[in-house]
Amino acid sequence: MKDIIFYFFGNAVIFYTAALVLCYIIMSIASFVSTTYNRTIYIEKHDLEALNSSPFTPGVSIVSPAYNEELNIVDNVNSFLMQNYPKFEVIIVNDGSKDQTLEKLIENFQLMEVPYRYNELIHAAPFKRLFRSTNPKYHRLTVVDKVNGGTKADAINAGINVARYPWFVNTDVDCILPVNAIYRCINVVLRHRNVTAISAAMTMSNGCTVKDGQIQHRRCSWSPLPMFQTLEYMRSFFLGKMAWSTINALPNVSGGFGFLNTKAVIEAGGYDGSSFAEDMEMLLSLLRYTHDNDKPYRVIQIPYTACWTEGPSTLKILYRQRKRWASGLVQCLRQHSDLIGKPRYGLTGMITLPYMVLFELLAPIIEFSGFLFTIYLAFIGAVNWQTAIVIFASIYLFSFSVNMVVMVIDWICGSTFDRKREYIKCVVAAILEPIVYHPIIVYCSIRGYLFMLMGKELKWGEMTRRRHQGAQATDGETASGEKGEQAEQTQEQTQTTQPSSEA
Amino acid sequence: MFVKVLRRVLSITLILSVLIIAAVLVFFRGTAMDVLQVDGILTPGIVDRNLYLFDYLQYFMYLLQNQFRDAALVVMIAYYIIIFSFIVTFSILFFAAQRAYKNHKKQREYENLKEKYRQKVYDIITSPELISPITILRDLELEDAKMTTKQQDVWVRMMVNVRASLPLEQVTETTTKNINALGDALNLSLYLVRTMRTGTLVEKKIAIESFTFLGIFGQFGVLARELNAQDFGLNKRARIFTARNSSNDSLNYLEPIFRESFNKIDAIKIFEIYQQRHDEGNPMPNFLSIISDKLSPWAQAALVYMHGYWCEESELKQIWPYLDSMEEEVRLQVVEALAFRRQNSAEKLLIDRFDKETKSIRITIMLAIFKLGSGRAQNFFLHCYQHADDNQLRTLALSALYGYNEESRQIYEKLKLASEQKEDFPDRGIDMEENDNLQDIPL
Repeated sequence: MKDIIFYFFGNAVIFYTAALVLCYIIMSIASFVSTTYNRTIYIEKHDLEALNSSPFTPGVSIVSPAYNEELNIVDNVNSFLMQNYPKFEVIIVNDGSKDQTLEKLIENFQLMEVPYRYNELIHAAPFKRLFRSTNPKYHRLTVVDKVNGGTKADAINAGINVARYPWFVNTDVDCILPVNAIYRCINVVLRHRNVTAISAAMTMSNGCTVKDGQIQHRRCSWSPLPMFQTLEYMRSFFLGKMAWSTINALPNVSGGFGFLNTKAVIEAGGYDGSSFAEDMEMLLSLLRYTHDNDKPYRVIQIPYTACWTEGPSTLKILYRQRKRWASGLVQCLRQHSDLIGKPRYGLTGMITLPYMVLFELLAPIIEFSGFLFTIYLAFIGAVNWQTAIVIFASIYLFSFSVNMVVMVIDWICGSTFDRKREYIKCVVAAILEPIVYHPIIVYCSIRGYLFMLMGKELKWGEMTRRRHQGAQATDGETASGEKGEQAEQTQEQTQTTQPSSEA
Repeated sequence: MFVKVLRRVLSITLILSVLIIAAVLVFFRGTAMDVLQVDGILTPGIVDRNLYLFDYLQYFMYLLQNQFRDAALVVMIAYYIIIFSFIVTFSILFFAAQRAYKNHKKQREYENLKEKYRQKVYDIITSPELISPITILRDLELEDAKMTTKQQDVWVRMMVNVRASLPLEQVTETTTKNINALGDALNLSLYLVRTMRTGTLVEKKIAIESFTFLGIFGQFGVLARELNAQDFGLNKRARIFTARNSSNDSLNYLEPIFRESFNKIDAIKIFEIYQQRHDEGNPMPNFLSIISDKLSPWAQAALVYMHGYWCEESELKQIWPYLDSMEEEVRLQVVEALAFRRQNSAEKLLIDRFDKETKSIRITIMLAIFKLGSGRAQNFFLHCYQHADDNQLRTLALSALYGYNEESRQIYEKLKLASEQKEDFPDRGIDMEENDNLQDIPL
């Protein structure tokens, strides 16, 4: 037995690590090339003017569940309503909030209950009422009140049942969307055939200041956890997802901001209310449905930050979130295990899912067991410290260089931040991440797996919200000079290029 | 494209690797020499020779070999990863620095120009009166200035940004003419010619896109060769620009777009062109003349809809036969066009088709009949309510009965009285009038 363990850590793990490194190298090259050289040229204002007057403009519904969100709900709904796209609606699903969420919405947006025949196209907890605004200024807003279904997926399903338009954005009510978020996504839909879903990048809003429902200063937080998460999200979207997208094998569209085809989602059965990784589960259901029924399937990642979200800033909340993600991953891969390695399901089935099993599901287990094994070896004095240091240095340097690639890709794609010096924080995060943050994530994942193995009931838990920086002070204020300057900045960005394949 | 890019990335990486290795070798030269001499690879006296880069590389390989002679596999892999990471990090930093420098230089040029001329350009473009190119040159104090393509590129960028800052309702015919006068004054046609001859693919696309957005008129011969460009993006842009500026036969320029890689943004852009031409009083072409089964369903649907949208009332019947099309998208657009034109004579045709159609087209037909508003379709909606096998269709039928006319409202009230779920009756649940784009109803 001892020999087997020694052999495993002496050889198998080395090859495992080398394979992982190779995967990262390939992914870095793929995402770097696709974001840097494969660009679509357009002038945003020109497209918007054309879309504004065209009968071919597709509508988009923004669906956002809200549960106990009284603190930020008004600011965030305002942020949703500020989209510059000509044809959209905002559907807020009040998922049985226990606080004043619904009352705040009714009061601030002058909502009135309207008689509505609710069609349950996809399953969700019982619908109660539907509200629309009496103020024409908010004519795009619809609020659905329903019984709490326990999960976000359930609330999104209710929102989809009410959605009028052929595309919908699945987002969280604590998210802030830039004014052109919908346009950036629909732009890809209009330029490519057979698109099923679009994934856009998300970034932490913890260090940013918010004014009039929009991010005013795009900054990276100095607070450790959000800083690490900023880098982590950047790596996930600009490296992993971009690379998978180049071969149409994206494994999931983020639950924080996903742009999906309404009809396809309904036909695939909607979100799974019992899933803790509802975003990944939905995409795998779509994959299964489209391939089983010979329907087109194309999921594209765009290298553009379309959503700013507040990340967990305490260990307790981070632990809960990551534990849920880890459990969701296990649950999802178990549920869709029959897709793994099947050529019928395209490159997602053949490459992405096996990769996820090997390098995402198993990685925390191997890392954790490796750590324990090293401690054991240290106790018996069997560690060759010189070799250990070389191995550690190699992995550390490699992870640092991957993070550097990610930062450069982000910068080339138009930069998440409005100051170059914000990247210094990302570099600091890249230096500290393998030692400080990564072990925490590994621990949370292991706990998540144990929870799933022991069959314990996992709950979504409640996120403690903080009011966005600057939001309180500037609510309702309009400083004309500053606004003019902001408008100018927006105009300067008008002529732009967006990476994505064109032909 | 991919190979070209990969080659470039690899060549940069290779050059940097060589430089880094050379630097490392110079640094560790003594060590390398010791190793090589100890190993007996070098004979005494060889170090006196002039050493070339290749020699250093060879030394380095020997050095690596020596390091790994008794090392475990894991150490070898670790060493390679370290070297690779160094190379990647330095390459990335080099690439980023080079790009940052270029961007910074470009941005500084733009900022300088903006500071000096933006307000003047804004005033010229938004002036309510027509301004001549000579006056513009005098106002800008550029009478004797000769501009390079790079400077003109910055000017075009600024003009695009000024134009983008204007709300659409502020863009009048005078605005467009002033933009053209500014273009003449700055000799932007020369810029387009130069870019088309010597620019990269991206520069060419940006130039045409900018000219189209600015509404700069004129037939530019230099674009003729791009009409057959292999790159679809460039080809399409050249065709759309030429079609917008052609006095006749505009559809001839656009036909290949419908034939090859047609997508929805093309439909939107082409619709915009014809909307402008229509507003300017130009005759509309017969869009049906280029329809064939070889076109994609979306291209066929767009052509049918555009024909129905702009054709004479008497020609509207020409799109009726497309209701028998095999393509659902085409049939859908025919119904939409008929609803838009409010052609009452088509009502019976649509009602007859209702039971044979798919769910999405049934929904569209119901909305179309509601919009036609002939006042004779209450029984049709009642039929829909009573016979539809789908909740969504029944809901829609009830909404239609509620808002269609007095008689249908009475039917609705009777149904409501007879229903057990009175409070669920959707009188305002779906606003039939608000559904201006029928295809948007989710299925």
